[in-house]
Amino acid sequence: MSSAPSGTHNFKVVLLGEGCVGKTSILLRYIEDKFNDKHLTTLQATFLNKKLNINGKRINLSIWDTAGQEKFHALGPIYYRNSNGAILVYDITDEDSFGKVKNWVKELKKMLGSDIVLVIAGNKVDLEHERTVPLEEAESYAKMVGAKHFYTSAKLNQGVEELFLELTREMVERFEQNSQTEVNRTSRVLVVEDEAPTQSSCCSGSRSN
Amino acid sequence: MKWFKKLFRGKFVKSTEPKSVKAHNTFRIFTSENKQKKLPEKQIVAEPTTEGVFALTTIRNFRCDSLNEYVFESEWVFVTREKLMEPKFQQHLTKTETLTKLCKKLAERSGHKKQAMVTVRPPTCHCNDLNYAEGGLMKDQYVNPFKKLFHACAGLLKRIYSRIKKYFCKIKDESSVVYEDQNTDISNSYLSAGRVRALRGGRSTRGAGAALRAYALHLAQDKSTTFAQNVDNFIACTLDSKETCPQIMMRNMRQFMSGMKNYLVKHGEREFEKEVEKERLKLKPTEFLNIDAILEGVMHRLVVRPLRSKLYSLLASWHSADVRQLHSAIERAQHATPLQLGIKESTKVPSSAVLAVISKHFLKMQEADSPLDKLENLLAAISVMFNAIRGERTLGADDLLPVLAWTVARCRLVCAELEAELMAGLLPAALLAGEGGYYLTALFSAVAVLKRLAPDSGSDTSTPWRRGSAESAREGCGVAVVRVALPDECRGSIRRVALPCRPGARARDLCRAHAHAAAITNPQDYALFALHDGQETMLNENDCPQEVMSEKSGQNFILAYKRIDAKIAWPQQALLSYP
Repeated sequence: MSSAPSGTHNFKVVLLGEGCVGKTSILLRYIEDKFNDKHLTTLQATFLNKKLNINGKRINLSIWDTAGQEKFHALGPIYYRNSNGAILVYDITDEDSFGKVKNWVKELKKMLGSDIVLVIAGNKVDLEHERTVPLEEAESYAKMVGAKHFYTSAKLNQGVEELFLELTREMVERFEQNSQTEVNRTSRVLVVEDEAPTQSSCCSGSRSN
Repeated sequence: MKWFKKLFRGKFVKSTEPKSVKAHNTFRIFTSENKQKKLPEKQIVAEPTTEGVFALTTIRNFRCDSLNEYVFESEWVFVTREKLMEPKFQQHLTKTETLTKLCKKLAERSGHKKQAMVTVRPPTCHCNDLNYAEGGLMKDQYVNPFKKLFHACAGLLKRIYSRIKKYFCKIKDESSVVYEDQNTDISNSYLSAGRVRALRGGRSTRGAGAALRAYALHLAQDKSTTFAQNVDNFIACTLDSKETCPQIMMRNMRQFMSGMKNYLVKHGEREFEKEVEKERLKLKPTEFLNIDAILEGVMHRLVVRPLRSKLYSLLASWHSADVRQLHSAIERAQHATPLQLGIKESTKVPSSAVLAVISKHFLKMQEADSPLDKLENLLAAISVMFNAIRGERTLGADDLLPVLAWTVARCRLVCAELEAELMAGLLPAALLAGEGGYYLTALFSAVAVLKRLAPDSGSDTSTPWRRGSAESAREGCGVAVVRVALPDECRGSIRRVALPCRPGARARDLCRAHAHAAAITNPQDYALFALHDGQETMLNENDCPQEVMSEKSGQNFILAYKRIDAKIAWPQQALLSYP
């Protein structure tokens, strides 16, 4: 989304999925490696920052958890606005939750197009014997919509690290593609910013008259 | 020598008597105040030993407020105790100018004209530089004490000078990176701030930022500066503007504030850049000046504060329907159980004691001028809420949102949406991508969750949140209109306002509705009064104005909403027929 001259990329990632699929647990599991237990008690697992280093690039992930209950679905847009990535979580033992993921994918594609990197996570693989969402169906769906699919278990710490790493890699890739095409535009924007304050800056106020 | 005030003991070298090196290796600094003339200047006397050589200089050579921090090299006079005690020299001490001249003359002669800064460290500091000087001096103790001291000083100063120079070069490099940072993305530095407290960085009244802040505010006071003129023009234009959309007004304000910040950082005005340099010299190696945060605070003070009431009235009229909807939704939510609001059974809700604390933070949020202060108070409120409901389980967004909605309802934060709009409109965009932005979004969504409880929202009938049947029955009998007199203290006139009022509504509901209708930002100072033959009776929060009205119907009786402390002589007659 924004990149400081020092080379740090800041990305916003939003966690979507039905309630009880384990969004918060995945987030906690991912951050837990970085923080000890003592820190965890003071953490609020709704918004977390994670600093990464991929190929010498410093990356700062701001991860936004969202409320998954159906009645809060309408609030989605204010959360995923300006997101660089979305993690869509479902519970492999709950077919409904996979249906919700499909809804989210549709909505995100419609609202944000290809600006957002999508990753689908089938959580709770420790409950493999209770699986109701067929493996092939999930993976072929992900492929169809151009999202990476991961199987995770927040409980056993499986696949969580890989999921975030892959997501971050893709976001960096997409950011670099976009910034190449936008080089001209951004430099023009900078010139404008340069000039504005030296003029009588009051014009910004009187313009509204 | 009572007029000598001992300031500190620093580690230094004693040069006259080799035997007492260890006993007297202190470097003391005295000040003498010129009491007769009351000059602001002071003389400084540094005394290497109790019976050795005195190093004298004027206070001009000291930077910073505390004398033990910075010393200029150039103008020093070294005298022996005997010479110091001479009446002629004592006269020098009482006359600043002559001592200054003397210092200058001697400094010129000594050839150490370069101005270097020396940090004279407190006694606890065992600095390598000072030890080095001490060691170097110990070798040739037979030399003339004067020469030796000069020698020691020169060596020490040269060494420190080079170190300081190196250090400043380093700082310069580092800070130039910071500048670039600000040029490209003026508020990117917020992103790294992270936690609540970090937002405060640079905006506190203490510390290195204070002088810069004070200088920028001083610039705004001086009406001959471009800066001050721009700020004044902008405020005048905005106040005159016929614009009714608060979003546009806030966008202009945001753009103007960012523009003025850029202007000060890139072009400076008067001594602004010098002031920045001066502050940088005072920084500890681990500190940096967050100029962006400092200026953001300054701009809030200069731009947001004077436009506050205009902005609030725009927001209140633009969002009047939203506020009314949220208001009735909050009334309904009072009777909803936590479960009905979507709070899981396993999650505790904040106790009333906690709610009182949260309410205070919310109140502070409403009172604050600066959107950053508002955001800080919002984060503080949420953090109190989180700590109160935290159990065994770590709480995620599934818990946060409904509990926040419940809390907003219980604290009766009717203006939640206005405040959220204001913060979102005025805070720098980069800040909104971080933690602050997340919890601001949470406040927006809590408002959205609550609003669905409002009776006029379409989905209402299908929602499970209904009040008791008695309440619904009473609501069924239609909406009454209550007319209330609003004395306008500014204009000295009385307005009659008719507001829709649910039957059975309490005085506090009506107060709130009026506060919004009249765009009153300090509703806690206002109350409803019953006026009867010129007598005012304040209604209690829980009184039902409609009942009071019906009891007194037919009499010369009206309701008035006014500031509790306002002393008003009401007209004797014709209040009832007042339009």
